[in-house]
Amino acid sequence: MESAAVKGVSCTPRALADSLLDELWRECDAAGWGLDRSEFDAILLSVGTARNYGLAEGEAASRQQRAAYFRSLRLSDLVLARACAAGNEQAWERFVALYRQPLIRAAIAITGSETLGRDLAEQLYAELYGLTARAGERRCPLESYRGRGSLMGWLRTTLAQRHVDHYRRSHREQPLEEFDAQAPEPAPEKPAAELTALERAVEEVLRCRDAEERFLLASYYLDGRTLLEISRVLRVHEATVSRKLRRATGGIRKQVLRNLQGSGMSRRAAEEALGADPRDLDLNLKKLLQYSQSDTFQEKAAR
Amino acid sequence: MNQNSQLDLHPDAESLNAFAEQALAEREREQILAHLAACSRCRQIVCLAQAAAVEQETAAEAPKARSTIWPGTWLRSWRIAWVPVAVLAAIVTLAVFVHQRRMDTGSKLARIEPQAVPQNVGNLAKPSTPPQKAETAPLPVPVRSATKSLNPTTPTVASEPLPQHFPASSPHFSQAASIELPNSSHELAALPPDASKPEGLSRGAVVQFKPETVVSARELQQALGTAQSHAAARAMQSARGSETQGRRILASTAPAQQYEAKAAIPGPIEVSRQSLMVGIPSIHLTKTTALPSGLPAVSTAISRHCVLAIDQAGELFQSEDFGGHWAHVDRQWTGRAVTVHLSNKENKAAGPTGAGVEQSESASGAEVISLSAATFELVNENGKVWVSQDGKTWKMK
Repeated sequence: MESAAVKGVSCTPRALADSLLDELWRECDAAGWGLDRSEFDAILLSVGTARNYGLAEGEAASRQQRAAYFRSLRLSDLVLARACAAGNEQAWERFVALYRQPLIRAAIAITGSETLGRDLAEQLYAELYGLTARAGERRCPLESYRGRGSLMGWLRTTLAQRHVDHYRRSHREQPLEEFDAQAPEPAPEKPAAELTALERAVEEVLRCRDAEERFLLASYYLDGRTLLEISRVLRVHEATVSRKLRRATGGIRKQVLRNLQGSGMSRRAAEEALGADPRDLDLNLKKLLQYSQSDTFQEKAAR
Repeated sequence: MNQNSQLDLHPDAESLNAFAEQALAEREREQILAHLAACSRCRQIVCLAQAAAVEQETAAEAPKARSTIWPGTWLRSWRIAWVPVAVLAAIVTLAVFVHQRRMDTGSKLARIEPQAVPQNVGNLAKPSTPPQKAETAPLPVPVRSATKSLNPTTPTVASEPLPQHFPASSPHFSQAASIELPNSSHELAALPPDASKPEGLSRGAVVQFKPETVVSARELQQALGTAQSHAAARAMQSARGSETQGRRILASTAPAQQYEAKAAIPGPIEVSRQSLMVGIPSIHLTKTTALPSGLPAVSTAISRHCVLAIDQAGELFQSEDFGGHWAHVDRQWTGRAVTVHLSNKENKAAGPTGAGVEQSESASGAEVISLSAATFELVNENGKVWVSQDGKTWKMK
């Protein structure tokens, strides 16, 4: 696996100052992993252009923005990952020494099982080592790592991805004997006018909430996550999550009241409508929240 | 929906990880957050990855904490030994303290406690009393009667042969003995191995051996009085594992030399912490130290008020706190003092209640228990006698 060439990187004109590249080259000790300077420059450029230096698509990045983007990267992890993907033995030794055991421990923590965790970690490790090939070409998932965030975090997230995907695939496989055909649903009764208005008002309000509030609501009410778990994801304190949740629910209530009043209800009637049994409402919050996906990923799906 | 389309639909692992590690720009962060709000799969991935990260951080911090507590210096590596060492030191200190206190309290030579005088004198001497009756109804023994009945010179003493019951080699009774009488608690006395039944203790008296207690016959005699002591001494010489009418006399396997040495060799006053109660006021004898001269006592006399002792050099010492402190008594007699004891005449004058027990002893082992106020008698080497009421002022008799 002797290869100094870095796959997927073509020689591009230098868009960065030589002094910055020299500085980054020295910082990440890329020479220790068998990379030469031209390969290092090519890696940086490929990483930068893949995400347009963290800017929106079509937006031109200035030299300072590029420099800031490269400085925000984990270059040492990036170089190690690319050297491993290129098959550098020293890099693999280093990778094994640094990440083999943490990878197994993370897999065990994710799966909650020693056996499943070890299987998951070994499977990913084999993939990382490049044992899988597509179209006759050896592929290493480490090539997709671009230095944003730590390599260990990337490994953990990859493990979690594999585990969740595997679970979601196998979860749908049910034995036939346990499968009972559902009875046909009864014809829906025509709901009361107040309930219809309430449903519409809730839908509108939820669509209007910002991404963070919807994430909080979905995590807390749909997924049943604790405040601590949500706070770890958002890197804020539990109390902050609690406060934001309280503010979100309070804001939704006020907005629903306003919407109901806007639809012709009196304030008292609107408040009475809010006191309706939630089971009487035909609201699918999951669908409502999923309706407002970000445009970026919808665009990706359309392509 | 295959895996490729999933990857197209969802942000990749790097983006999710960068979002969780706050490594994304604001615009991209908002995009990921909006996706997470709508996508339960990605929320689950992020949450699982974060939970694993927290677990790994916790596991990584534990060894650090341990290494902080136990740096590898040689001195600190002994830290775990300090606790047992400290506990051991505390125990040793406590033991020394307790021993010291016992020594202090042990210096009080004797304490006399008045005890209820038993009634029904005659039961002790009746040989025909059934054993069951004797056991269910303990025989109260008045002091005077008991003393009289145990006196070998008194013809009323019943001396039934006591059957062998306990083997002499029994480890429980191997070293010493105790004597029990009706209405009394157990007491102790060292017995010679060839001891046989005591005449005076044949009825109503129980002799028990206790391995932890060694008391000379002299003390037993002090407690029982002159008459009793003679009977007990003979009993100790002859008794060996006897029992009669529910009361038993057990023999000791202690070497004969032990008893003889204690009886014959004058020395520091031997003591026991236990009391000897034979239906008369009990005498608590405690350990004493040597006399101020450093020589052992050859003769002692104990009254209610004071203790007198003659050492081997013939010097007389007096103690008013039962051996706690000794004062030298100036010589008011001629020759070398040999014996000090209580007057026999006073003994005979004692009342029947048994109050005011006093005792004396000589180097030969002759002891006297007086039941009245003391009159000490001092005998010099020529056999001349001096008398004293307080032990300080002596007059020739």
